[in-house]
Amino acid sequence: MYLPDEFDYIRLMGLGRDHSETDDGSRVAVLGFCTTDYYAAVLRGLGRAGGFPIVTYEPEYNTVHQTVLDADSPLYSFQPDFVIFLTAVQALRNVLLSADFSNRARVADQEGEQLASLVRQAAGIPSVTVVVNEFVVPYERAWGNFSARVDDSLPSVVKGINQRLRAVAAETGNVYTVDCDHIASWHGKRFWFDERLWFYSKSFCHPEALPQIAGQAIDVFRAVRGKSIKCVALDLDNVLWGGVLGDDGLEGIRLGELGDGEAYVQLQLWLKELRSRGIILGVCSKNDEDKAREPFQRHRDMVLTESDISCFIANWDSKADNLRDLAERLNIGLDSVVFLDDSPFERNLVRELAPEACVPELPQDPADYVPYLESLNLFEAAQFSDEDRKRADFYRSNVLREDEHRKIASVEEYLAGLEMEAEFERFDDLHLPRIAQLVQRTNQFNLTTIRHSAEELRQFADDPACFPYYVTLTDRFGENGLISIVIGKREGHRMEVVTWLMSCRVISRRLEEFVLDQLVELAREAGIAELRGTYVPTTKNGLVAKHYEVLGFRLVEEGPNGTTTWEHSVAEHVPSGAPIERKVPPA
Amino acid sequence: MKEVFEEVLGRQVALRDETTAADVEGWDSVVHVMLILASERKFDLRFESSEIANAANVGEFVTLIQTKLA
Repeated sequence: MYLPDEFDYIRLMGLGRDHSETDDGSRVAVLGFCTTDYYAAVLRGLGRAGGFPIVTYEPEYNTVHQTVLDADSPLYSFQPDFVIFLTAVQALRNVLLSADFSNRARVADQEGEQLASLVRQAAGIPSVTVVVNEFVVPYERAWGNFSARVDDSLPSVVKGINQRLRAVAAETGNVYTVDCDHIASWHGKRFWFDERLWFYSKSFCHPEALPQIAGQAIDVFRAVRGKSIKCVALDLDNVLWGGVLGDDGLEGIRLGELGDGEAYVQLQLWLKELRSRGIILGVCSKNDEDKAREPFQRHRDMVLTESDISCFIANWDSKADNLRDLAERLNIGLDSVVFLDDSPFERNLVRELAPEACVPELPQDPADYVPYLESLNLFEAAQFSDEDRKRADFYRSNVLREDEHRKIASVEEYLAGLEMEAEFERFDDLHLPRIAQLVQRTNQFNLTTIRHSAEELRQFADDPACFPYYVTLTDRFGENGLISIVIGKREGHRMEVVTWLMSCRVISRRLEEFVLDQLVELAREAGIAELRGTYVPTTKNGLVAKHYEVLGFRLVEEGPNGTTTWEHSVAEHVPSGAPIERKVPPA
Repeated sequence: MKEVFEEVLGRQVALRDETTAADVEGWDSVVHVMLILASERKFDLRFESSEIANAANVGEFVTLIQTKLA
């Protein structure tokens, strides 16, 4: 996460010092095999400064086992959204080094299994996400460099335990690990390991490293909640190349072997990798558009091409307005955009006028761009699927579609010309990871916002009384991927629609009407007379408050907090005529 | 030293040589370590393990830092 420089660890500890369990915010249990005070204070400080308020629960010093194993412990009544396991390799190393060498592997195995089982147990708390700090690989190497080749050396067994923690993360689905060894190396293990502080106050690292280590837990929280950065909006001059295109001309800009041009190539390669990971790239530049596109088309040292840029905005309007326009055209929130600009003036203007966007500093020297940006860990991933790989393409074709949209007068005509084809199929193993991702992430077009766990989703898939369906959409501009989910449940003569959600990138396509047609068809085949759906309001889903009304359902109940319940008769359903063909997936 | 205290505690404090942890609200074991670390940073010095626990009041803290700087 990015925070201005003045938030160093002392400031953050001060900011997070006072707290009460009754405050509002995400509920985080910090379970430590070390002192937790420093970490928890910095975590709360970061939360306050970064707009992600956090309330913590910390059990007594070194009582992790008792706390997790006792079903009556305050951990469970605290009802955490997140549980963090703070490991301390300093504590582990004492256990391992005290074990007889011939016995080392067995002791390491026991320690690893014990921790893994605590993690699994915590992961069973309803709708929790668990973050485990991996162990920092210790600096003690009894065999020198050869230690890496000795299975039972201290560094080797610790790496083995980390492997096991990652395996637990992979198998559970709601457990994530923080790569502390990476962070420790970044600071330098010489500074990270302050043995005085371990001996005196059982502090697992020098507190100077805490903002980064705690910040990365928050990065994971955000990623899990779908609040991560989705798009990098780029200024051009002195960001993607050195010099000013308008003044220096295509031949004069520094890129590749010219001057400090390699630094810009490094940044472009770094951005290209992000793009292939699913991060959208956009351009937001003060330039004439034709001129600004020239290097992408003609400069031989450009790494990024026009097709890497999902949305290209170059004009002379304010960058704050252009960023808003960019977010709108991509149909993403401005708070999921990070803006890179070398000009302090533009950065401050955007911070003032488009405060939702993330605007980090940018170092003076372009050679520092990538290391600096990498230190912010802006692009934490909660998972990675084939969908993510293609995401930037989806958004690019979306912008192309939008541009076409502007040309065509009638929406109906436009939709009819899109040649949309959709798959509407029961959940299967192949698609479950993406389904789980969509369930976690979708905030706006989401009728009930129930965050079903991966396990629950699998149960729906196996339950013959349930109708768990996913929807994919293709049109003549390309694939949109798996973008909608609906889960029905048979209850007597009714089908209760438990969950209905859709990615915002396919809004206004009449896809929801198509889905309703399919649901009605399913109900009819199963001898069900009526569909019943509920809208549960959240701060984000106002978009679908009238969803059922628009689809022709009738209101049957209004709850106290704005919850509404709707019914629709299967016999009276009129097919929507939405211009979408149902297609059978390839076998 | 006053600046170090104020940086760590995030507020103004009145300090005299004989002021002890008991006299200053919030000067607990965590703040104690933070005071050590903030002094290290400010005066560019390093306390030894045996010195960390030693400073019982503000005066001793100041003397310790002065000896280390001398």
